[in-house]
This record gives sequence, structure tokens and C-alpha cells, in this order.
Amino acid sequence: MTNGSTPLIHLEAVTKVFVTDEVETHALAGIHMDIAKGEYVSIAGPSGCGKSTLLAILGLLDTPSDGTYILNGKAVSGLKMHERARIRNREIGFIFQAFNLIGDLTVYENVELPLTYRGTPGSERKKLVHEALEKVGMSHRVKHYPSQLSGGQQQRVAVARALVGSPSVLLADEPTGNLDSANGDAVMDLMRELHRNGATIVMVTHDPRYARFADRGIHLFDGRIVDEKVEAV
Amino acid sequence: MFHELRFAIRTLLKSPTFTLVAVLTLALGIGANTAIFSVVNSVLLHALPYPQAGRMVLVLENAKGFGEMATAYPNFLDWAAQNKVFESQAVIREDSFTLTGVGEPEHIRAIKASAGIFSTIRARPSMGRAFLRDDDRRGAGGVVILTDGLWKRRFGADPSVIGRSLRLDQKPYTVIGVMPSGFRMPMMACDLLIPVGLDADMGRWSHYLTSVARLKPGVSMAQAHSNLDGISQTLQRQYPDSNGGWSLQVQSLQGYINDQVGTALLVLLGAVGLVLLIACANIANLLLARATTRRREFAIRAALGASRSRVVRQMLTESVLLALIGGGIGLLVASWGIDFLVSLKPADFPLAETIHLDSSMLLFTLAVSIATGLIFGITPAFESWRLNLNESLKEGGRTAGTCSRHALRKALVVCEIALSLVLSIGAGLLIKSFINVTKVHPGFRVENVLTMELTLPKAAYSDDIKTAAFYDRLLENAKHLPGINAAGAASNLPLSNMNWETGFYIEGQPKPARASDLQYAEASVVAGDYFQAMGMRLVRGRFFSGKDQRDTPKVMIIDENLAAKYWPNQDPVGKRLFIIGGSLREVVGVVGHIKYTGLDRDTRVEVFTPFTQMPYRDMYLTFRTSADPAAMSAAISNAVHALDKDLALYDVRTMQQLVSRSLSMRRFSVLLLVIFAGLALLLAAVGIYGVMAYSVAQRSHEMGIRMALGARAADVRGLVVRQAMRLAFIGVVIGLSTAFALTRVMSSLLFGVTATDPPVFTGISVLLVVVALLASYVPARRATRVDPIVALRYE
Repeated sequence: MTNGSTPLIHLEAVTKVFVTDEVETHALAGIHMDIAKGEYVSIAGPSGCGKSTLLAILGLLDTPSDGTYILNGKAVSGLKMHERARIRNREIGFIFQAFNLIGDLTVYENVELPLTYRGTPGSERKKLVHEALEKVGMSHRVKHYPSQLSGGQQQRVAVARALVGSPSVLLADEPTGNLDSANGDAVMDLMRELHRNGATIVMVTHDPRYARFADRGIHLFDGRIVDEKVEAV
Repeated sequence: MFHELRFAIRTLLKSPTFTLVAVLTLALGIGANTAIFSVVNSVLLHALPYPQAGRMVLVLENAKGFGEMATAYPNFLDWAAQNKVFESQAVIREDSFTLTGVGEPEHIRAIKASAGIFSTIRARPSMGRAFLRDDDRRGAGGVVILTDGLWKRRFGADPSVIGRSLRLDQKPYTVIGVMPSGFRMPMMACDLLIPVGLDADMGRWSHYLTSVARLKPGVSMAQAHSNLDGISQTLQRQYPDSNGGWSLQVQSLQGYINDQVGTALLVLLGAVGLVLLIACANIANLLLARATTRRREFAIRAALGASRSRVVRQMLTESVLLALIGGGIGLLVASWGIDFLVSLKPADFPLAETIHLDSSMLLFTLAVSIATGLIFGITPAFESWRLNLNESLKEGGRTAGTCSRHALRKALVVCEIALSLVLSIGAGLLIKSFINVTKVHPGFRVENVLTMELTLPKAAYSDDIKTAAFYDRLLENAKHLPGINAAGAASNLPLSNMNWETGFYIEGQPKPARASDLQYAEASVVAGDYFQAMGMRLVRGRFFSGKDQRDTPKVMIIDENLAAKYWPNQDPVGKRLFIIGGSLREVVGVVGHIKYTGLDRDTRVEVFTPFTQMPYRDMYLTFRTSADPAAMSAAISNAVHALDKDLALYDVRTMQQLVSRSLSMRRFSVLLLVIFAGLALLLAAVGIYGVMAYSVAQRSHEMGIRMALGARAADVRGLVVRQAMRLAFIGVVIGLSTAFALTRVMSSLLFGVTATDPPVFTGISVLLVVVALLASYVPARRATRVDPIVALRYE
């Protein structure tokens, strides 16, 4: 399942149970998973299978009900809120289906945001933001607001924002879900390019075409990994 | 319209919390406005309860170097006979008597008035007759006219009271009339009226009467001034000694009342108006938030064919309905508020008895309610005008137009902060002035002093020897009462609203040729250990003593200001000055200056003459006590009645009460402005809280994104607080510049502080920023509890 080196992400018997009134919903039921550094993993499965819950746990947006999560050699499942925020800021880059750019901020300011929280000095922030925007081909739109951009352009900016802090892993949740096929293809090409340059990517997708871009595909059903295969790239 | 009204009622009933909050806010705002406006209406707009009151004027005498002064009776007789501008005129003076012959002796308030008073104020007795010219002269038989109150209280509303006899200060008078209920004399209260001419002082030096007159129809103030000016010049030539450099002036009676309390009332009206505006801004904010949730409803209405104006009409119907309900309850608040205001009002607040809710106030409340409803309803109503139908129907009204609406809400909060700052700075300036006034040393020791007034009837104490003997014995007896440390008396007391001035010149200087060239001083006749009882400071020389008798050289004590003015760097003891209408007197002592007319007023230099050399029948008794002064009044009353059982003591007060009373108008304004400023701050805090809470709710998605990108709780909290601080800062800047321009109108109310006092401006700004900080902290904390997963809509 891994390339043999120490995994960047190690999940062991991770479960997630949601309790509402008297109903218990087992969103994840004993997930074991390792993801190596530089790996491109896609997660697929029907609606309600636990893909997004798994991604939320991987992104430290949620905590597992049980089990162990080790990120970059550090157990992170029991961390406090502010420690999780710090790791999220430094180790993880998010790419959302709905882009989730902040409407009141310019392209530059949106991309700059993770560095601001990290306390990176202004001059260095400027350099990193421009580099990230260069990578996604959006450096000519720094002063635009998200509403002035197309969906594809917004997602490129979102990718730049995910990249700018050089995180250990990019987590992408249906990154092409809100895009037409041309823009979707362009974003996927961008992801593949990032992966070629060494980025670790975990991507949730419904689309089998894009799932094939990954090194490894994981199939979830009812909160369990039911299939796992290495793609021939 | 009926359809809109019905739907508006249903909508308001559907959101009871919103309706309750809005109605209560409006009831407070409108009620406070109605209450204050009732006072303004009664005192400033319809102050004078006399027919054609606009033609009523005061005639003032004015001497160069002295300023305005009361009227001398012979001067009145002259200008009354010579003028061509007045339909009628009169002089009045407050006095008091001991009423006997009808049950228990009672001290009563009287007004001595000339016969013209009835035609001047256009009032007639309801029974009997008014004074005739023949009643109003020396040697006439004593007659009185009772007020309705005294007639009912002491005569059991006896319809055959006319012709009955009563005794005032043991002198017989015949009742010739009873005034109707509701009768009021200008500026003075009384139980009965007596003709002033019976025993008027005929000296042209004695300025002690108030003149009121009624202009002939069509005569302007300028014409009246010109006519009286001519008369005063004639009198100056005829009587250069007493009238030289002296003139007559006319002031409208309403103008005089406005001068007394107008500025304070208008500042309060402005303040309460600001409170209502802040309340409007708050409710407009609430309505804007509600309009957001109702966008889909408006869109559906529009899609079904409702015109935009129809939607606006619906919104305005709701807001005006809310305001009318608020106004209705506001009337109740106003009714309580008026009772509250009247209970707080200063003792000498003019025309307080006329303050009430009447039909004009109902109309005022209705007009204010409708205006209020339109003011706070117009912004949300026109927001609905700009509705994007397609977006609203598609997105359920969740996001479209949010930015502009949010900007509006922020603008409203900025206005609230600015208005609250203006109001709070006004209150701050008045508080600082009040503190400054209370720090003023009156020149005597206020604590443990008991004062009371005593009038010896002329009939029983017809000469100076009897008068002097009575006070000598009384003060001697009182001095030995347990608990009394010193006993004295004075013809007039500091802060008692009673002061006498006397003209004088220094021995060795030429006698001034004209009255206006004289120097003037506050003058008091003092008996016993008055200076010790008041705790006054002896600077040089000595107090009066047993050596100063009727037949010994005439002496006086002066205050340190007089000494410094006329004998700088010299010992004034042994110097002499000439008192007009009196004699040459030698200075035997110098005492500290005291505040006579008010802690916040400059007073003239002061002179004191010994009672033994100038006995006086009406005296203020003053006692320094070793314990609670109020507890000594019974013992002193017994001491007085042991000497004469028919005497009535009145106006029994401690000096602390007199000081407190002298501050009552200032305290009244401060208290009300502080209440309004507190209300404004509270409303502004609620406004900031509302906008920030709404903003946090609207931005929960953004907060989720920020948290996903690594924002810590402190980052999110800081984001919200910074936003609130930005609004507060803009509001403070606007408020400071507005306050800078507006506080000048209250300059006349300030004491020891400028209208742009930097510490007050800075302190209140900081206070407002702290209020904004606290108000935004709760929403800021709430923002940190946003669950990023929920906000980002994970499954």
C-alpha cells in the first residue's frame, strides 16, 4: 500500500460516530490507511460513504471518535484546538469543491491568508504569494475579487492558496465538482503537475476519469475501505 | 391599505420577540421625548397662562456699573403716568406674614401688588372685587384678596368671606375678593394679595419691586424701549442724585423665563431627540436584518405582480404601525416621566405647575410616532426596492445584496456611536461642571448650620428698641440651649435667593455725582454670633461685639475682596466708608468673601453692619450645632414661642439643604442628561452587538474557511473585534467633530470647563470605544465557536 518509506499519513482503526438524539451514525468504521510522501491518492465512493468525513479528519477539521492519526510522525488525533489550527496552517492545504474564497478579499489577499496566520513577514509573503499565483497561472489577476473571476480561475486561486504555505499534503474535496469539463480538466492538469513536482495529494472525487490521475485509488462504502488499487499512470 | 395593515399586524404577531423589543425601545424613546417636550411646551412655548401673553413685558431699571436692578416705587409711579406704550402696568413684590384671627397662626406667602396688576395679567377675582386705585395708597384701609387655595384651606370655601376680617402680622385687613382656582401670578407664588401702595418705600434709592406691564396692541418692543428711554432721561435730569446714569429697559416676560431655563431645556430636548434617533437607527437595523430573511417573500410577491411601490408600502405600514404602538405605550411612559421630572425639578423652576399631558401633547406624540416609523422604516423599505428578483428566488434570499445591506447596517451603527458620543460628551461636560461647582468653597462652613426665617409683626414690634430687645433675648437664650454652639441672625442669608445691595463710596473720595457712579456691595445686617455660627473666617480686626451699640460710633465689617479692591497693601481696619441712605461707618474687621447668590456666580464685594445699630424685623436665624442641625429646630421653636407665642418660624433649613437647593437646576440638567446619555450608550451597545452578531452569523462560512486555513480562535476573535473597532473609530471621529460644533450651545451651562474640554472629549471617546469593545466581544467569542465543517458544508 505504500512505497516502503515512513508514511506521511498513518491512520489506524479510525472510527467516527455521529450521535443525534437516539440515532448513532457510523460515518467511518475502522479505517486503516497509510499515505506516503509524494503520493497522489484518490478517494471515491457513493454519497454518504464517509469520503468527506475522512477528508475532514485528515485535514484536522474533525477528530476521530476512536483510533490513531499520525501526520508527519506526530500523533494528532488528541490535539487541542489551537494546536490543530497550527498544524492545519503549516501541514495541510485545502482545495474545496465550492472554492471557498473570501468574497471581500482580493485574489492576492485570499492567497496571502494562510501566511498571515503563520506570521510570515510581509516581504516574504509577497514573494510566496506571487510564486504560488505564477504556478497556477493567475499572477495577472492579483487585484481582482473572486466575483470577477470564472469558476476555473477561482479554483486556480484556491489551489494557489492551498500551495502557498508549502504544506505537507494537499486535500482536495471534489475540486472539479463545480466546474465545466474544460475547466475541470485544466484544474486536474494543474494537480497532476503539482504531483509531478513532489506534492502529496489526497483527492475525493466522484469522477472515475479524474480518479485515474491518482497513483492509488481508495474506494469507500459504508465507512469502510472496500477496495484499493494502484493506478497505471 | 387595509390589506397592508392586516398583514402588518399578522407579521408583527408572528415575531413577538422582535415586536416587543422594537415597541419597548420606541416607547422609551418617544415617551422620553413627549415628557421633555411637555416641559418645553409648558414652560417655553405656552408658558404664560394669561390672555395675549406675548404683550406682557418686564420693565427693568439699569444703572451703569451695577446692571439690572429692581424698580423703585416712585420711579414706577412716574413712568406709569408718563408712558404711552403700555395698556396697563403694575409692580409686585413677594412678602410674608403671620396670619392670625382665623384659627392657628400660620406663616403665609403674600404678594404686594399695585392696583394695575389685574388689568395687566387680565385676571379678575371670582368673588368680590379687585383692588381699586384708592386701596393702593398710604393711609387706605387694609384690604386683601385671597387665592382660591387659601380661601378653601383657611375659610372652608365660605361664600360669605367677602367683608370678613383677618390679621396679618397682627394688623387688621378686610377680605375684598377671592381669585379663581388656577390663578397664577407671574414668577411668584402666593396665598393672598395686598396692595403695595399701603406702605411702599418712597425712596428712589430703594429698588425692591418687580415691574410687569402689558403693551398696547400694535406697539413693538423697540417703540416701548424708545418711549421709556425718553422718560428715563427726564427722570435723570429731575433726580440726578438717585437716577443719574440710570435707564429703563423692557424685556418680554417669556424671554425672561427663557433666559432662566431655556438653554437647559433646549439642550435636554436636543439630547432626548438624539436618543430617539439612536433608537430609530437600532430598529432600522433590526428591520434590515428581518428584511434579509424576508427577501424570498418579497421576491415571490413581486413575481406574482406586486409593484415595487406596493412592497415599499407594506414595509412602511409595518414600521409606522410599530411606531404607533410604541407611541401609545410611550404616552404612558411620558405620563410617568412627567411625574418623575416634576419630582426632580428645582424648587424655583418656573411654571412647574403648568406641566402636564394635554391634547397638544397627544398630537405631538402622534406626529413623532409617524415620523419615527417613517425614519426607521424608510431604509429597509427602499432596500426591498433594490431587490434582484432572479437572485432572490434562486438563492432563497441568502446571499444576494448582502454587502450593500451590511454596509447600511454598519453606517447606522456608526451614526449611533457618533450620536451617543455627542450626547455623552454633553453629559460629561455637565458632570464636570457640577463637580467643579460643588468644589467651590462658599466662604463659610456648610455643615451643622441650622437656619430659619422669623418675621416680627410691625404692630407688636413697632420700634427698633422692641425689635432689638427681642432678638437679643432670643439669641442669648438660644446660645445656652444644649447642642447649640453659636447663635446669630442676618437680614439676608447666602444662597437663600434673597440679597440686598447697597451703594457706597470711600471716605476721602468725592461723593459721586450720579447714582450710576456709586460702588455697590452685598449688604447684610447681622446679630449675635452670626459670623461664628456661619463659620466665617476673620481675616483682620474683630467681629462685632457688645461694644457696638446704638449710641456708639457706627461700625461695619467688610469682606476681603472689598479690602483688596480699595485698600490694596493697606490695613483697612480703621478706614471709613459712606453707605448710601445710611451714615459714615468705620471698618472694624475683615472677613473672608462668601458666595451669596450661588456657588457658580460671582458676587459683589460684601459689607456687614451690626444689628444693634440698624435693627431689622425680618431676620434669618442661624445656629451652629454640635450634632444634627435639623434635630434642633423644635428646641429653637420653643425658645421663640417662650418669648412670643404668636410668632411663626418658617423656611427651616440646614445650610446643607440651602447649598443643595442652589444646585438643584444644575443637578436636574445633569441627572437627565446622564440618564439620556446612559440610554444612548446602551442603545449604541445593543446596536453594535446586533450588527456584529448578525455579521458573525452571515460570515460563519468565511470564518469556517479561515479556520480551515489555520486561523486560531484569537485570530477569529480579533477579526470581529477589529471590525467593531473600525466602526467605533469612524463613529468616534464623526461624533467628536459634531460634538466640537454642538457643545458650544451649552457654554452658558458650564462652569470651570470649556465646551471643548480635552479630558472630557478624550475620556468619553475612550468610554465609547470600551463599550464598543464589550458589545463586540460576545459575538467575537461566538465566532470562535463556528464549526468549520458545518460552515464549509461537509456531509
